[in-house]
Amino acid sequence: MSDNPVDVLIVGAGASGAALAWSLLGSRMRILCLEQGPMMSDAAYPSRNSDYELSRYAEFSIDPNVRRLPQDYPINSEDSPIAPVNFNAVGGSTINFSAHWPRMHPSDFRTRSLDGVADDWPVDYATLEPFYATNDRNTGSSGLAGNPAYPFYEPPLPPLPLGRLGRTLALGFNRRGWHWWPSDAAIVSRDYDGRAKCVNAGTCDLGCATGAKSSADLTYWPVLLRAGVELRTGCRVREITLDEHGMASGVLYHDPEGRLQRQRAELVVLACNGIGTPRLMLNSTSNRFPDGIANRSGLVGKNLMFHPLTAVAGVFDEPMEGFKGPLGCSIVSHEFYETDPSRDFVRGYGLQASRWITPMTWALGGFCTENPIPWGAEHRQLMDEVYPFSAGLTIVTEDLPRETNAVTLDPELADSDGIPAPKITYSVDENTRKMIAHGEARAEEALLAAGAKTIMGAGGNVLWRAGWHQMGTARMGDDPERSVVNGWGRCHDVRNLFIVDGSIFVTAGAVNPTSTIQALALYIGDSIMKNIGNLFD
Amino acid sequence: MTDTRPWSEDQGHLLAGLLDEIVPASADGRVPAAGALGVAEFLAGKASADPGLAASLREVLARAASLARASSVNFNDLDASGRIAVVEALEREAPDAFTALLWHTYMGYYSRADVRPHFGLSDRPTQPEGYDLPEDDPDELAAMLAPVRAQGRRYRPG
Repeated sequence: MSDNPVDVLIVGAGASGAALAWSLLGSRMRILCLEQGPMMSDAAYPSRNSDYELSRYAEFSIDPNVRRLPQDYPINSEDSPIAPVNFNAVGGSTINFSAHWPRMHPSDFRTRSLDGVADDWPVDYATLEPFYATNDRNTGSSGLAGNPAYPFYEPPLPPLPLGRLGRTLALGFNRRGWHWWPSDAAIVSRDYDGRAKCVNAGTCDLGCATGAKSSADLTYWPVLLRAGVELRTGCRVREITLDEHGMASGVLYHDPEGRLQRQRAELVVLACNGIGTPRLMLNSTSNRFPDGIANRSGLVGKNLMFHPLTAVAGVFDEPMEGFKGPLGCSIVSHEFYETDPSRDFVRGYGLQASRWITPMTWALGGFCTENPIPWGAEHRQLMDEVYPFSAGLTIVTEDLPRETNAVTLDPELADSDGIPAPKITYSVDENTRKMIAHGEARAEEALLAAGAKTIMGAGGNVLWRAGWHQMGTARMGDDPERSVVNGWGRCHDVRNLFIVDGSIFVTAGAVNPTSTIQALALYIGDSIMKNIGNLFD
Repeated sequence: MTDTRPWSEDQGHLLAGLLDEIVPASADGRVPAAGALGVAEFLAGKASADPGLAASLREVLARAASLARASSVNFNDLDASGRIAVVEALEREAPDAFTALLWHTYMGYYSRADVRPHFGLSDRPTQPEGYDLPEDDPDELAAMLAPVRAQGRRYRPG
């Protein structure tokens, strides 16, 4: 493969890498993206197969340690109650994400000033708002304008149907006098930009074969490829290289045949998400950076944040038909999102009414767990009299940053190219446990108000295979001693190395992060363009 | 044609009986039990590609046969309470092997297209047809949300 230097080398073709590339199209710079996974084909998605549920436990598992595809790298999560999940392909984890598409709240960017915890971001909601809006248009998001949990904005497409499940739970929130709103979704509710509207298949995690889900391979990448951005798939980056001046000179990567290649670049952008990015940085050691590139602060890999989740379900008199409609999107409540001094925890959580899972997954214990339901007569009773009548609420808690929650390199585990694999060390803090207890009680109240006759909960346990959101491991900030990148994604220590994924989050909020990740990537791209004349000064 | 199933014919009958106890037929009789539905064939296919699973299933079958012999009959000749007692003993005495059987039985049973309609789902793949889900009437949705709007702003300025 050619080693001709490129202007911009992006590592990772997922949500953030695609958005960043789009924002640079006007620059006429030569852009190359290296992606370890393949370009997916909708014909290969398991939702087209009769036995589609089986793939959740094989090649389309959300857990790379289960999939074990050639493009996956193993993750040691033995020291974590939450296992990271992802997908490695063009489009990244937007291939199998639920497409719930909330924005962060303005307060999420000011937790130190408002609540005395964590740190303020160097950017605020108002700065990001136009980039959220641009990204919503590029993505084709659906939702209802006027959500009082946010400053006013208007999604480009009307909301997805609530369905019987959503309408039932909405009634419960109204009876409690609590906030709720139709979920924003990165799913087109109308034909949009050449893509057909959602058919309510419900198996969004198995890839959207009809293309209604706005995965980055369907939104940004067609535009990027037409504009001449070069995409090399099956290419896994081993390390970022440095020149004699301490600037990034490019990368070493393994091509699809496993051969080590060198690619030079004027500017290197990392877009590998909150575990892949620190893994690559920690694997990029040199005399100048013996602890990993751009890691003078020692914070690369530190402050890992997930969103610890738990769930409560109610059993109703009527079938809820929860299998109809997009998996992750019906209604959401931000009643308990903001800090309330009368509670015994700081910050807050959201209550998400997702759709209900399909029968096999329910019988095997749920979407994020492996705990099969009982056998025999009890099995039959649960499947026939409980499963179809159930609806649930997921409690999505804010995770405050702590340096002890970290991504490091496993001393033994490696991927198929021999590159050391990441190890996760993580625990749930007391503040989050209090949130979970509070959220479980409120979810039960909402479900009972909605008419549930029986309640089933997780008993305070966080869901295990639920590390969708990986944030904070190369945080933004103005102080090079306390952050890895500056306010527009440039590494303090290496001026031509940028990070645009969830690693740079300072706080996590309590919402799914992809909308914010892409808005941030667009903002960083805009900042690069504005500073192009003196980018490396 | 060579029979590649990792168990004998007699063991196959025993396995089918075990499966019927693990997932019995629906009360209305419209959905057969797992053994009657042929889930053993699914297990055979999985076991042929997974030596660990094959070993677990052989362990379960050997123990089940042994437990039944203690009553001087074959498993399938036991009465209902006797068959359940054997399965309970398997779960207690060989928990790992039994969990493997349970896990794959559920997979085999619920991956069948003819089982899904019992729970309201289509027997088709979910795509491309999907499901009909009516759009919400905007006026009705506005009425549902009126109490929420009436609460006013629910965020703190940053």
